Amino acid sequence: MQAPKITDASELKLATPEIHHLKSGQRLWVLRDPGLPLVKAQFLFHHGLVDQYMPMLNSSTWSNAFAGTKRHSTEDMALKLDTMGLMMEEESEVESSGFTVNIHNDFFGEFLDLCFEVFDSANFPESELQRYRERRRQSFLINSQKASIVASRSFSKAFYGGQHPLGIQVTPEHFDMLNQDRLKKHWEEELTRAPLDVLVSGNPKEEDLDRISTWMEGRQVDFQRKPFPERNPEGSEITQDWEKAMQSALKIGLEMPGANHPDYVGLKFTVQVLGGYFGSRLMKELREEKGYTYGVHAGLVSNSKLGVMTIRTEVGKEFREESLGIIEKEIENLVAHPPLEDEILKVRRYMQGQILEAADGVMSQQELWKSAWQLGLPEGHFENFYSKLNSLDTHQVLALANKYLKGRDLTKIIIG
Amino acid sequence: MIEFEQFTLDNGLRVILCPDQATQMVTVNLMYDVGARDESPERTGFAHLFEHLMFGGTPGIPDYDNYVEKAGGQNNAFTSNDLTNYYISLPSANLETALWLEADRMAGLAFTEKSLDVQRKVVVEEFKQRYLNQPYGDVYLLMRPLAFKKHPYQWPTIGKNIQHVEEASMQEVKDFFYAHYAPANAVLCLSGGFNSESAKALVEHYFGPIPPRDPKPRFLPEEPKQDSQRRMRVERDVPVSVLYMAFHMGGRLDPDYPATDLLSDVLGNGESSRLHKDLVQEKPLFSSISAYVGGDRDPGLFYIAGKLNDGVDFETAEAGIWELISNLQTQGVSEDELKKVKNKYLTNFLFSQVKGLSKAINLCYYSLLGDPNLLNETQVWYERVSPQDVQNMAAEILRAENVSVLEYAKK
Repeated sequence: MQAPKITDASELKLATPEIHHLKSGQRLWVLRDPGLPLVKAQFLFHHGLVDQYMPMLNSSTWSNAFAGTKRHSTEDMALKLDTMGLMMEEESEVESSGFTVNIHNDFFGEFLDLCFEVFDSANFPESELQRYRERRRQSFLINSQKASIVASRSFSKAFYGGQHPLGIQVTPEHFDMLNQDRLKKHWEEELTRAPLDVLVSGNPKEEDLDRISTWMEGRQVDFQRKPFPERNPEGSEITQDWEKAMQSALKIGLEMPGANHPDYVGLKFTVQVLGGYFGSRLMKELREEKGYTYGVHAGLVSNSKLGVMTIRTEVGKEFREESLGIIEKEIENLVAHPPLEDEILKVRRYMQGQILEAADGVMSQQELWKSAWQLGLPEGHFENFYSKLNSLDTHQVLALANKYLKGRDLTKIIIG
Repeated sequence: MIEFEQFTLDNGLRVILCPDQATQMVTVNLMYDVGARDESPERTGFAHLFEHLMFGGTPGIPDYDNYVEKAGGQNNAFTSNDLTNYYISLPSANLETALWLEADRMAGLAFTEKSLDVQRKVVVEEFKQRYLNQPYGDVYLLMRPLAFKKHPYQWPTIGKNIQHVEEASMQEVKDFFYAHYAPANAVLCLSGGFNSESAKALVEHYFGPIPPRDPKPRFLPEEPKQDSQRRMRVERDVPVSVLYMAFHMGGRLDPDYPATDLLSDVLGNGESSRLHKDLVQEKPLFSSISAYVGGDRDPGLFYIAGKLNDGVDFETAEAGIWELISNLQTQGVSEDELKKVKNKYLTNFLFSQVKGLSKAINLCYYSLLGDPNLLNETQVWYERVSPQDVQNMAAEILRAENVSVLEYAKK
């Protein structure tokens, strides 16, 4: 049968959140869908990995914040939270931290009661912390046997430097330092003093939103953030041979401009061409032509200061040198030859489809608004991003590849 | 309540339409009633290998992904012991492209030697990445044959070993396709922003002409009732010893399935669950422990898995679990405890209906089980479960002669 005509996707329709601007720059974002009996709420404080003075401090503090208060023991808290049928996850990101809760809207008010109590009097019981440390230590040891995770850790150290908060390596001593006094101090003097953004989507009740606003207005906000630390790279190539490994994990990367840079959309596009989707050049070569790997991915991630292009894959150990050569050759090809118009069209439509998918429903859109706030993106960023994809052509992609990829030293990690 | 309409084409393809005008996206989900349980014991891993080959092109469309991506779509697939599922999520304007692609590969594949050769290698790398090159990666390679002696659930979807996939021949691939990839052996669901009338016409247009084929009849051996405890101990280069226990339980349509599922939550879902409270907080024998059901269509397995604390031996750890089970069997559960796990089930269920893709997968799955309406009924089934039902399931399932125990010990 004849192929149906493929059309460009329709315009991006993003719901505009209601933003309640509260004291000290805090905001409450609301995205409503009255058809849902659910609420997704994110409490995100402006205190991230770059602000913590030792590894695991933010994530450990948030993971234990609901472990007990002056009024409720660990067991009481666990029972109350489980009875609400909620799903809660701590969030520990580069420039923010806190938690996300997914809950039936009938229970959201009750959850807020507990939540405000936690912010007022979380006491981080040592008995629970002891169990937490042991779980986390075990998990660290298990992950240390996974080549892909060790490659990521080594990459962070090589790329940012061992003293940088994003490059520092966890040691056994760090687990012992996660004690009650330290977490309580960190909670009281830093985390809960930081400005806060609360994002809520779904069908929250008005009185619950009012309570959040009132509580935010009453908060003491006086955490002063330090400038984003400069990176101090420690070498560009690390190879660790694991005798018993059947595969090797490769992680390769390069510094790029951040999301606010005028070249960001074009660069995101260029990296997509290289390895950002199933039909990408790297997937075609490494998986569909050679069968050396189950998957390979290139991506461009950004924080407010800088962007990082990374390429990661796990390949049969006997193919690792050849795979690395293929990756380098594909980067050279991107620099030397303009992509065909057909490839440009495909990547554009694919990326527009991705954005539409990411904007499908208020709970997904909440994640877009979250990243816009975290990266300091201007109003209309996603609409601009979406439409700017239409104007990118093959010459621009070639020019960007030359400007940002030509002759650059890659950070290359091979583990396994 | 999920609203949808369903109909069946003359060639036997079941179709479900679940429109939602609030979204700009549409999901086209095609689920085939074939999984690892339909494989020969001498050629395991085949359903999954075949899932890879479905992306290898047809005589008319050599590059499936190229069209999906040009239409702004994302696609993927997965294989379980019971089924193989393919989906495309794309902007609604290009719904027709997705239907054209799926109908084309249902009609027939190109079956090229190159595609088979490359995908054999890719699956071997996947086998290594997920099962052999990861700590604890081989757990289900060990546990399944311990628990199942006759039923094909005794091997995981990746297969018993790498050789079965490495040795797959082109003729076997073709035979597999014609035996299982028939219209009458599949369910198609469209979920998202589309008009039902025009979607119906497009489905008829693209899938209607595919000739009917008779799917291979299924004769699965029934697993004999287990009458004594089975045990295995392995030593591996891992940092933490883990205890796994697998009990036989009923299948997905068994009337006791919801009570069994809720029993697993009472035991091991959340920090107020019995296993966590008793064996992590109070004793403490484990650093973490959970209970869960496998969710298989045929009678499957109910798992308890826990990481041992340093200095605790397997015998002591397991004795702690049996003591807790014994208490549950004699004392039962309270209404409040049951209500707690039902709340959790309901929240999970409602969140799983938010996105078009999960709605479409669920509707297809329940259609394979007999009727997509079952999806809407599951809530009522869970609501009806009583404390006595949960206690009965604890007595019926959590027995010493019904368990397979795997001691996964650190060296």
